[in-house]
Amino acid sequence: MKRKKYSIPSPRVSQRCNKVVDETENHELCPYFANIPSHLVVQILLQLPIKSLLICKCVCKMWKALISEPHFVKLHFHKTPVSLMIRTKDHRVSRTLHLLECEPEKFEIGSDNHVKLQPIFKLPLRDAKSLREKMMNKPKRPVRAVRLVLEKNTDKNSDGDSQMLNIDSKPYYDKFGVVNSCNGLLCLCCPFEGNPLVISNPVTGEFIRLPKSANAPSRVRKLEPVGFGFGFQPKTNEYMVIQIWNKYVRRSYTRVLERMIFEINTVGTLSWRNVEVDPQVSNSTLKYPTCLNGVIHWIRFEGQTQNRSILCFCLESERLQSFPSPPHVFRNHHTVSRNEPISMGESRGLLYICDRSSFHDVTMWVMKEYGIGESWTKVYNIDTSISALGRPDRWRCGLCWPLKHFEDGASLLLYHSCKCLIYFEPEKYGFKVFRIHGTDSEQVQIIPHTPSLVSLKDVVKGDNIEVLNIYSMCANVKLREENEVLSLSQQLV
Amino acid sequence: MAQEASSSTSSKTISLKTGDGEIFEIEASAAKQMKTVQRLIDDLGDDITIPLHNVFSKELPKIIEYYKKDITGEITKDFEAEFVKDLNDDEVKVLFLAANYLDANKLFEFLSQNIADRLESKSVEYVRKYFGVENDFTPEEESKLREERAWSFRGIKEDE
Repeated sequence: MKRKKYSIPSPRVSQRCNKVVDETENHELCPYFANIPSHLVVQILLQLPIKSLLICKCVCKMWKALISEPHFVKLHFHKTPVSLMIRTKDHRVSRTLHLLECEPEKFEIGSDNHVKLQPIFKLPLRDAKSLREKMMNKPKRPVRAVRLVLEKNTDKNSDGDSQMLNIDSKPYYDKFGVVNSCNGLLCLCCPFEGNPLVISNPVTGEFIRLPKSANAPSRVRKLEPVGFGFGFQPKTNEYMVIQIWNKYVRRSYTRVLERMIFEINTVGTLSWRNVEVDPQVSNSTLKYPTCLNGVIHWIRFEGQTQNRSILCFCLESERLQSFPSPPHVFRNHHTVSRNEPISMGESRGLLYICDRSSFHDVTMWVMKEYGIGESWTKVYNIDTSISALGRPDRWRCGLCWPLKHFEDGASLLLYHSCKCLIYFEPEKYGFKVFRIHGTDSEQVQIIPHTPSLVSLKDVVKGDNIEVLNIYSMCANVKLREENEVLSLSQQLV
Repeated sequence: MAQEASSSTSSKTISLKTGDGEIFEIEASAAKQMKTVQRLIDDLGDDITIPLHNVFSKELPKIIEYYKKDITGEITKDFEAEFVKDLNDDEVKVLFLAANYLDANKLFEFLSQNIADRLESKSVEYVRKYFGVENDFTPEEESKLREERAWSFRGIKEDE
């Protein structure tokens, strides 16, 4: 049957391009992208790195809304490459995080080029409240902990911006440690005990303070930390924080374990809930919390023996149980001490363990099928004695992070002490050494963290907990060490 | 009839007519990649010249070039780099919108990545101009946003 007139394209297409139709009729005259439909803008925005999205947020209100929209944030997060946050590790407060997105291009720069580690994000100060109070009360005699030094070139007259005040801040009071990162959020903790205090998204600058638990350690109540973790429960779309403590009592000149405290807080609620678990765990230390598939995993170091195994806690069923670990990795090593580098993490949905199996060798294991012990595969065994450094180096820290999905072609980043990163790409060029420049600090801390624009306001859901923003709180507080711009450059050996 | 059709699909060409009246030929297998064209073919039959009102003679040849390479399976990083090398911003935008209209997925994704690459280190003003977008923030909001940006990119100038 012959059609009398040709059909117009299907409604879906015509709806999408009706604006285009208007434009292209006069396309010589109008700018092409004026009134471009927002879903096309979204297509382009999805391809941009976080750094550019932060700039695009400032373009106009609609773009700001598009970029903050939870669905967009989620889609974009899945496209973000594996990233690391780098911060200085020494006597400073170190609240500045420098982002390193681990894309291959960054490591293919020649030896003359520097890759700047940007953007830079800030963490809140642990004791910001009292610091600000000190700032407000101008003391008659200089307080030793706080010295106010006006920055030399303040543009306070031209822009009306507040003066930048350089503050001498004490790490003892103000520094945060990091528990772990999950879905673009960082869980910050007290650097001494390790107990979680704050959940923050360094990219948006938002943070919330976790509620105090009735069972938390205090001046009167001393508790021994066992383990902490931060994770995401996909079924209920909630974030949970866990703290595990041991409480001892004195019995005739020794201390006896009275009980183990295992508490969970659902982020956004005001209280901690007690959970009954097997108290066997109390004689161990749990480290390297990693959340995957709604389960928080730890490497468990057992009491006297220091036997290592993997322990996991399912956020849905609230059960603590052991988890299959890679064979041979966790056997009794007589020389293994608690300080021997080992790490666990997750990358692109796969659990990995990196350890030093011998003096020279760094091994990376990946669990190819979640939950199946036999699927632990030794992916790399790197003999670092013949690394690009050209000489055996005793002070290697053999921790590594997988940067690419192993099927895509392998690449790894090894952290060497003294601010060096070793990029290992077995197929293309083996080892390449990169050095971090721009800081006086002798060491850096690497935090695996993939940035996301997720807003804590969407996480917290409700008004119980106030979402604070670092930019509105500490905008005019600048720490003395915060003039540094870090960059990465290849070191030829 | 059916036999004849199947044996000649690989070399069958479709005629496309642009909005400004020019006619271009494209292989049937390449036309398949452009869903809009395929839909029109399904409706109108493949003997008729397919009208494309919103695509013009400036951009269609480039699109055809891309899909010609695609059906031979030869699209490499080098080819893609070469493809966009001499395109100025306006040309890329036009191709992007045309690829959207034609529902040509592969080209559309490639071009959206290319536009994103072009915007990557640019300033807010540049992006606004590129998209013809007006700044509708109040001065207070604007300065607050600028302050936040100044922290993130401290010491690093945004390219113009």
